[in-house]
Amino acid sequence: MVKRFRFSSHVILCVFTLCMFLVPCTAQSKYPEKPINILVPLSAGGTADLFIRTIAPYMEEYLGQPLIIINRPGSGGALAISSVYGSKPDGYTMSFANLPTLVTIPQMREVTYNPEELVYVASPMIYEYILFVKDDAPWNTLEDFIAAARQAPDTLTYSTPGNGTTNHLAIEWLSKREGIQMRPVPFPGNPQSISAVLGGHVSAVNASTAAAVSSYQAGLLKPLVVLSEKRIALVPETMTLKDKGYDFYQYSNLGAVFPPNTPEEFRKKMEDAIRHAVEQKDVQEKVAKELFITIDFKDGNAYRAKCEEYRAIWGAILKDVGLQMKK
Amino acid sequence: MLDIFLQLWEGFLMSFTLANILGIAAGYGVGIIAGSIPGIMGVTAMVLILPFTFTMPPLFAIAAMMGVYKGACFAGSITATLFNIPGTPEAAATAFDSYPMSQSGQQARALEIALWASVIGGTLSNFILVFSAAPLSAIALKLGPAETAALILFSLTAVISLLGNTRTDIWKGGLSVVIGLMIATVGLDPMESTRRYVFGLTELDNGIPFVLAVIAFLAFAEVLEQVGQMTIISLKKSGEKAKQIPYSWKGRWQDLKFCGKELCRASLLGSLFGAMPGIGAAPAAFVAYGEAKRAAKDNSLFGKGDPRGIAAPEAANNAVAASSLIPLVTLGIPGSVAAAVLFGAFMVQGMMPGPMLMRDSPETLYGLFALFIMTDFIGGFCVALPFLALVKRIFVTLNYSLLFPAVIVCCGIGVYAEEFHVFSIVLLGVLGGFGFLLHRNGFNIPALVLALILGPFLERQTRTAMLISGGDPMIFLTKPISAGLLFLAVAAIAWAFWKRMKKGSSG
Repeated sequence: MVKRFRFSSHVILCVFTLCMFLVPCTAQSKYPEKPINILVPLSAGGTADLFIRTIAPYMEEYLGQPLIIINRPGSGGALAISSVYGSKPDGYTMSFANLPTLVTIPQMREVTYNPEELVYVASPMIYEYILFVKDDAPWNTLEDFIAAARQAPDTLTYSTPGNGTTNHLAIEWLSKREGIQMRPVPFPGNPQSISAVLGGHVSAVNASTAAAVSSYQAGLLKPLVVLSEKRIALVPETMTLKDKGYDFYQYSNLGAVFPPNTPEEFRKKMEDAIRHAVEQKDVQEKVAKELFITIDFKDGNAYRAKCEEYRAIWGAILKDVGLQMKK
Repeated sequence: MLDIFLQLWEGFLMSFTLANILGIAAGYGVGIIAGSIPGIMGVTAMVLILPFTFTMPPLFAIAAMMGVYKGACFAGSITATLFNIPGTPEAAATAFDSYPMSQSGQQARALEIALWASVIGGTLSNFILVFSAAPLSAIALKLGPAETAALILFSLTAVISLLGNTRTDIWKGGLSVVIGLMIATVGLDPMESTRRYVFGLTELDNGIPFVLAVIAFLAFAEVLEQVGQMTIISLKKSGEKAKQIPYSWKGRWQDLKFCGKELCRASLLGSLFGAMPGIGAAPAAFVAYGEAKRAAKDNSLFGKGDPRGIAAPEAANNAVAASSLIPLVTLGIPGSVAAAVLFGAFMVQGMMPGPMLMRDSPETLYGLFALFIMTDFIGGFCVALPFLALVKRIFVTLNYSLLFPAVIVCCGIGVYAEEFHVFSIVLLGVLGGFGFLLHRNGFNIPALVLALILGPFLERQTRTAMLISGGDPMIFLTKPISAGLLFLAVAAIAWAFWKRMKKGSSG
């Protein structure tokens, strides 16, 4: 039997069935009444991801609705922010965002969002950075590393979770200060940038703490310097940039943002959920002992204020290292 | 070596409890149902049941999650075999041979070959995970961006070269890959977040979600195609036109002997692909299919119902499931989306996956390995076999005029449930229609889907490699592995053309 194709009524029926989904349904009551999409701007297994997955069950407990955690890494977090910026302000899409990355990237390249219009929910924690090389790398100290970079300009590479992230800019600052040139290589997140060092594809990585814990404890990574203000319990012996006489330190604030024009009622509820989560004893214990992250809760207003502060500080740094977009 | 056996034995003693067996069986059941519904991916099912595992004991929770993962992995082939609608993208390669075999009345044989291949592939890869996780992960780490990009390119050419019988087919296959890659570039670019091909639609900024594209091209387009071919007479019942040929024990044994070599090769290949973060099961299945076809002395039956064409991709895609946990176990880095969800399950249970788990609590780790090994057997024998019997019975009395609308509803729900955007459904319709037109004109839909899945990854790896080399494309040729893979890619295409030419000249 030869089958002949024709646009039969069945095809039309199929298309019609699909169209039924397009009928809108409207009903509003108490927020939240359905699962909430949570975007993570970096890849799975990274510091932000580990932290968010740790607090999510407690936020769910407070909100009474499940959170759907979606990793949307790319362009140093700009993809996730752009995605939340274009979402409906109905409280069902939220993205986590790193500060200062949130304000540095729009100063470096054209983006599809305006960070000032976002609704700032809260910032639960800060995370800190360590510059690592592979365990069998020829450099044992920061000085060795800088000397090697000076000897062979533009050959050493370092991996970052995206251009414009704190991880990237801090090394740019250091390079500028020391008059050396190294090549940044962006990855979707810290797990990938650490693997690139472990595989010997790049020379160093400026990694946030939690993502590096397992590789460091297994003896695969060698710390050169701590970039935050104080020393970190994960690598107590390693000196900070300040200890070494540089007047510089960096850390990031992880926070959450809603699309522009999200009603205050939703923002407040979410802020309370985050606060509830970080106030839990087991969260605090786990975060400090296993992830080496410092909890530092800031409400929406404080988070926004921090944003303004960072815009100025990092704007100056960007200008200094020559990465600010020319207008 | 003996040491590992002892620890594994202790792991078994710890894990072999009724609760765990029930957990695996329940999880596997959920996975099979999710995997055989086009529109619901295994990962979606894992995410859905994750909250239920919070209060469970750790091993039980992970057993259930693992069951879902493996169940979905196998079940994609059920709908691929019966209706040519792969429930998951990795089953697309299985459909090449399992659908024709099933059309010739051998549904039982096709389904069972897929099941046994899944169990064998999964088991072999479990043992590879237990015994050689460390060396495999060292190899995977050595493969940097340049090598990964070359490997992806090789997978794509493998697909082009193995499909179609004429030179036009190869050209169309190449064109399908290019179309897939083009669709993959829609949206904000992954490095600089520049808008590309969005035509002013901000909804497209996120790109075309790959789950949506896969459903549109593999399920929706195929339904349109099959429905269009129906006449009123053929509409009645599927069982009437296709008689079922029973599958004897002797037949089973012969098939196993016939496919033995392919099963081993495909399992190894799948394990290797799985160890590399990010590539996933679909390319492994395609490459395994290509290898099976290339290695076969008589490959005239491939594409028409050769058992090796079912065994190879099924073994490979299931092998990926276990070995994609290698980066997770050895480095604490999830190698696939599913592994990332498992990562979450570990975290909830207060375990940090990674090298420290091996050092601090080897008994937990080996308990887990034992669970993985149990998953394939318990799932395969206690859940999948009865399920297949049920499916076969339903298939005989199935009314297609009810099935196809049901499939479309599933597709719509699956796509909508991803992110709750109505725009996704419009996109599903548009892409499905586009896929339907391509299919009618002889384009290669599986190649397109594979290119679409791998496109973003290929782009990122290529650009990263170029950044490492400072913009010098020679990095792809100076690294021996990537140069070798690129050579193989060119050779695959050349081989395909040469083969068709020879065939053409000899008549």
